Formats: sequence, structure tokens, C-alpha cells
Amino acid sequence: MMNSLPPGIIILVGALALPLLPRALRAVGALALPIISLAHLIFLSDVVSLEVEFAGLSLIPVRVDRLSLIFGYIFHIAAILAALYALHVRNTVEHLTAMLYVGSAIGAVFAGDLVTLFVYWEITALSSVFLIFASRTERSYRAGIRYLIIQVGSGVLLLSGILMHYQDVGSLAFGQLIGAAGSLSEASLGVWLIFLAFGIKCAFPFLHNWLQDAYPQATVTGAVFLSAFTTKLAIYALARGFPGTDVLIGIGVVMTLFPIFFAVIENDLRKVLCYSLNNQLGFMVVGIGIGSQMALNGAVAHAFVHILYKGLLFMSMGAVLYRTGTIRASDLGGLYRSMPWTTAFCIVGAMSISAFPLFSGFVAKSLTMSAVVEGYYVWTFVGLLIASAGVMEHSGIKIPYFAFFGQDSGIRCKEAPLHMCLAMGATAILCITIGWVPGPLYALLPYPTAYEPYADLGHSITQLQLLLFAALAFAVLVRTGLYPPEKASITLDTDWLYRRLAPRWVQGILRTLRKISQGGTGASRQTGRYLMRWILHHYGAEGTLARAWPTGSMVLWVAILLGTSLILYYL
Amino acid sequence: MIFKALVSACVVLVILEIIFHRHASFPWESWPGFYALWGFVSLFAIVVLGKRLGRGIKRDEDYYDE
Repeated sequence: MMNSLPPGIIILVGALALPLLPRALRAVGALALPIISLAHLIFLSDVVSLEVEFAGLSLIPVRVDRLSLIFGYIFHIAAILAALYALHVRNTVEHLTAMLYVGSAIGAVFAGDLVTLFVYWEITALSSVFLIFASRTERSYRAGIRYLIIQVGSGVLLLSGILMHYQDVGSLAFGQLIGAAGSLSEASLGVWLIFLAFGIKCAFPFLHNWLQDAYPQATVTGAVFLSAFTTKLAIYALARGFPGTDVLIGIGVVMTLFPIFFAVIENDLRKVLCYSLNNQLGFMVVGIGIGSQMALNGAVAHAFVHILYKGLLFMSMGAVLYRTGTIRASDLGGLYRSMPWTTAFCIVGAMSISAFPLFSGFVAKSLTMSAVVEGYYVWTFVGLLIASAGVMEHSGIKIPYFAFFGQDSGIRCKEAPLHMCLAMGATAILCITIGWVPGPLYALLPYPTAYEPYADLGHSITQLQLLLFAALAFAVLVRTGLYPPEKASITLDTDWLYRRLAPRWVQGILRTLRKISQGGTGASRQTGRYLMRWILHHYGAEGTLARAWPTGSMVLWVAILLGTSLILYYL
Repeated sequence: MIFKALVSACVVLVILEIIFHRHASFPWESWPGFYALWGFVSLFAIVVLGKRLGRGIKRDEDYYDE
């Protein structure tokens, strides 16, 4: 009986039951749900798939294979850590929606057909927006609405794509959607739409800005949940549907590169993390684009470790925001005195994301890089190498430096609460353990691998060179005053197009229309006036044609006429 | 102090690379100090270019709040 339950359903149903618990126990209940669900998943592992007939369609609500399992595991781990981190939250709606979000994301990675995927896809969008609304500010409300419009838009594209795809092939199964050649130009319109829907959620260049717009507006704990699920669900969907799609390599490289420049100048440190998240997704997208077994392993391993260290970084910045009330780099600095534990955890996250040897990022990124080398993608390699230095800049150095070191802001606060420290500590231990002992992670990957990240000592040494010389460049820039000072400001991105340019255009168009209609009204009124005057002139009461001619003048005129004819006659 | 430690760590790494060669897949990887130079130059360039970019796209915090 237990075995036939779809993964995620325990969390979804349990989330709806959370309000029944006493108020003080709801946070604990939210923590218990992913733990129970993980236990269920571990027993489920040998069930391959579950098929049902529904309205004449054959659906596969549950499909368990290696690709879905590894995402299932990491989503559970992330949910447990984030729920532990959120133990202080007393807002029931936040717990409830966070768990609906987690449950639907887990359900989505086990969905064997496109309709089930779509249903879960939409639940993740609808539930996660409450983690942004829960900040209860005007800005978060507006950002949440924008986020919702874009996420639901992605769902609409997905549904349209699914319907067209079903028309074409007559099957709803969610397997590889792209042809064996990996060429999108040969794909049908339906597949294109599905690709675009995944691309929005995956924050492809120009479709990315909902991420940097919305996540920094989420609550302290909400951002930790958000950082783990939505975009990695998109990575899973791309790995499932579009492995080896060559255009993804280019998209991925651009994704790794452009956010690093924005991250340099961004002042909101959680927004810096969002740009960094975007850059990390690029590495995974490159791996999926290459599509070899090693590259796909690299992309999946990267997603796995990324969820942990990115969560850890969001937790540490959340703790800073929770204790100091601000997350602007220009207001922070010197917090290591007040928050030594948070500082240490943040540094572990920073070293992991920068891919220092013996940290989790290294063992995952090396796989992708090896796949790039194996396929001899020279320009991709060069791009990713620049991006690696970029990661070091914004996540490796900027985040810890401006929050905990740098210029002392004078802020003195308490260390993060115990449950936050526990969540961060557990995540940090995982980051280090995976870095030291990558074997168990490799064993979970979709394809068997014999990769040994530490076999070539020279590889570790050159990686350390890259990172430490980058750190040296940072130190030189700061010492010479060339590093741009952090100022209270925001940076424009593509959101400017729909937050400023489009409203301006719409306003401009409305203004022109108003002018035209006003002008039109004026002109027609003027014409009408002339017409009326003409009519009045001729037909009006005093008009020429309407003048009453007195009988006397008629007699006179007849007399004149007769007289004239008489005179003419005599002549 | 930290700066000096960083510089010495960098020097040690360059020496280590001479002892333990990296298995080079691309020809330039075997040039001594390639990764060191790459890291330094990349970060420098990223910050300088980012700063340029910032001049164009930085706005007041209440830019959108009208």
C-alpha cells in the first residue's frame, strides 16, 4: 500500500493538514514531512513505474529511474535542511505553501508523463509565490505578481506545447523530446514551446530576470526554499527531454558569463547570489547540451551539490538579514565579530561554489569540464574558465568579504539562532564530506562513472592557482582602490523592459491615441459646426430659402415683371 | 598580513606546479603559470568591465517606486 503512493504526495497532503496542528507545532510538522517522505522514497526505489488510464489517456504519474531518484533525494535533503532553518517561523501560510512547493517539485521529477508534469509544474509556481508575498511589503507584492505572471506564462507555454506534441506523436510520455541529432531546428512547434517553457524556468539569457527580481524579495527562509527547487526542476526537465541539444551549449556558456558582470556591481547580497545561481545553471545547461554520459553526470552532480552550497549561502545571508535587518553590502561589513559561526559556514559555501579542491563544487564541476575537454569544445572551455574566475569573484570573495569582513559597519548583533546554525552546519558538513568522499555521490549519478577527481594532482594544483591568483587580483584591486565601492543602488536588467520601457510605451501609445481621438473630436466638431452653419444659412429660420415672402412684395415683383415685359413689347 | 600570506601561497602553488605537472588536454594548459595568469587576468578584467557596465545601469534604489 505504502509503495503505491507517489513520491511527494505525503508532503502535499501533509502540508494541507498542517493548520490542524497546534500553532507551536506547525514548524516541527513541516520539518517532519520531508523526513517521512524521504523514508518512503527509500523503500519505493524498486518500483519502476505506475500507469493509469484517465479520460482515455494513458498517464504515468510515477516513474522511478536513476535520473528522477537523484533529484528526488536531493530535493528531500534540501527540504529537510530548509525546514530546519525555518523552525522559528510562526506564519502558517509560509509553512504550508513551502511544503506544497516542495511536494510538487518532488512529484514533478517523478512524473512519467507530460500532463502530470504540467500539473506539478503549475503547483510549484502557485505555491512558491506565497514565499515572496510573505515578506508583506509593497515591493515584494509587486515582485511576486511579476514572478507569478512569468511562471504561469511558462506553464501556459508548456501546456500548449504538450497539446501540440500530443497531436503530432499521439503519446504523452515524458522522455527524450529532442531528436537523436540534437537539433532544435528539426523539432516540431510543440517541442519548441516545451523547450521555451523549460527555458523560462531555467532562467535562459533574456528569460532570466524573474529570478533576480523575485528571489531577493522573498522572506529570509523563503529564499532558501526558492533557491533549491524551481530552477533545478527545470534542469531536471531539460536533462530528461533535451539531452544533447547542441544549442544548449551556447545558451549555457552565455548564462555562465553575463551574470558575473552584474554580480560585481550589485549591492543586494541576496541578489548577488541570484546572479550567481544563474551562472551556476549555465554550467549545468552546458553539460546537458553536450549530452554525453559524462556530461550529463556532470550536470546532475552539479545540480546536486549546487542545491547544497547555494542553500548554505542563502541561509548565511538570510541569517545576516534576520539579525541585522539589512542585506545591502553598502551597510554591512565586519560581522565576523558578531556572527563567527555564520561566517565560517558562509566561507564553506563560498569555497564549495568556487570549486576549491576538497569541496563539493570541485568534484562536480570537474566532471563537466572533463566532458567539455573530451568533446574538444575549445571555446566552451575558455568561456567556462572565465566564468570560474567570475564565480570566485562574486560568490567566493564578494559575499563573505562585504558581509563579514571589509570595512567595519559598526553593527553588533547576536549570532544566528541555534536552529539556523544547525541547518547551516549540517549543510556545510555535507559540502565538505562530498568534497572529500565523492564516491557515494558518483554512485547515485544516472550513468556509471569511474571518474577520480583527485587522480591528477596537477589538476588540483592548477585549480588552486586559478582561484588564489583571482583572489590576489581582488586584493590588488581593493588595495589600489580600483574595486568599485558599494553604494546604495540598484542595477537595471531586462526587467527594465517590462517595468519601465513597456509601461512607458503603453503610456505613450495611450497618450497618442488620446490625442488622436481628441484631435478627431475637435476636427469633427469643427466640420459639424461649419455644416450646421451652412444648413442654417440656407434652411434655417432666418435662412435664405426659408424666409417668408410677404404677398405684397410678390405682387410688387409680378407688377415689375409685367411692367418690364410691357415696356419690352412696345420697344 | 593576509595579503602577504596570499602572495606566499601563490608562489608556493607556482613552484608546486613545476613539480607536479597537470595532465594537459589543450596545449596551452602545459604552459607554466597559465592557470595562475588566467585567474588573475580574468578577475581583473571582470571587475573593470563590471565597473564600466555599472556606470550605465546603476540607478537610485527607489528608481521603480514612482
